[in-house]
Amino acid sequence: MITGSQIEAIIFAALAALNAERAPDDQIEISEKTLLFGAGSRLDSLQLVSLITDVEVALNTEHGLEVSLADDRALERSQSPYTTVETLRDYVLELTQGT
Amino acid sequence: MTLRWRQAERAALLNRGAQTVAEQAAWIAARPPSEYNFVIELLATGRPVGMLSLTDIDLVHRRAEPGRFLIGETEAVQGIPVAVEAMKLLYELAFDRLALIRVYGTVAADNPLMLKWQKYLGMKEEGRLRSHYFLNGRFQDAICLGLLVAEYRAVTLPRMRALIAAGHAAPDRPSDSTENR
Repeated sequence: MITGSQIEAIIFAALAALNAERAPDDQIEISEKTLLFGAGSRLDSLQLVSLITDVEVALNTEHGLEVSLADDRALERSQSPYTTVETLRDYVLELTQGT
Repeated sequence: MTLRWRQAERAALLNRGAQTVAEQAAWIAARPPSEYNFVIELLATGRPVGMLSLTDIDLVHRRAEPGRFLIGETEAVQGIPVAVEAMKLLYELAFDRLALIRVYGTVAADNPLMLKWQKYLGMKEEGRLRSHYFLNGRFQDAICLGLLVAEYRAVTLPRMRALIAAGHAAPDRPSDSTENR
């Protein structure tokens, strides 16, 4: 079963991939508190989708997990799962518990 | 405004646009009736932040090409699902109001963010046009993408709703686009 720290590493790698496309003075801080989407975030919609895609692909290729991060289940949450690295990690962990 | 957006670095992977205000104005005035062109505005302030279009609308074959998709005010849309809401409005126009059954388009192979975006939102890769674009000083392939109405309803809409909900707590959201048909 995948662990929280493994999921966090995948999200960090996806953020690093986004940073590779950004200017040196426009890098996104990478930590579990990093804001992903919503007020105060520095990602736009295209970058959020890129991050979600990279995380889903890594979960599949590295761990054999088929996970959809953007579907109706995400809508049912009181807090968006994409708010921070921490909330996304916990959401992925929850989704993968049953797989 | 749209000329400034088209000349920005972010538009480097779009086709070359007008170079002067007069050229841009002439281009806007020459838009045919087979297309809709929109400016994307934020709901709370009415601030224009980008543009997108639905072109080559064919009501016989019931297809059209979304395009000219450009966020010009990048700092204004951080953390807000502006692009998703704008695309959702455009797809509602295409599939619900115009009853089209297919939208399609091409993306430069060197534009991975846009390719990921389109594919995540349901577009299927249908082919590759080799050395189709001359952009940034070199030729590059165009990736052909298409989306059918059934795929839009099954894949695109749920993902768009989830992404839009992700930004619901943000202070400023986009409005219905301002039409410039």
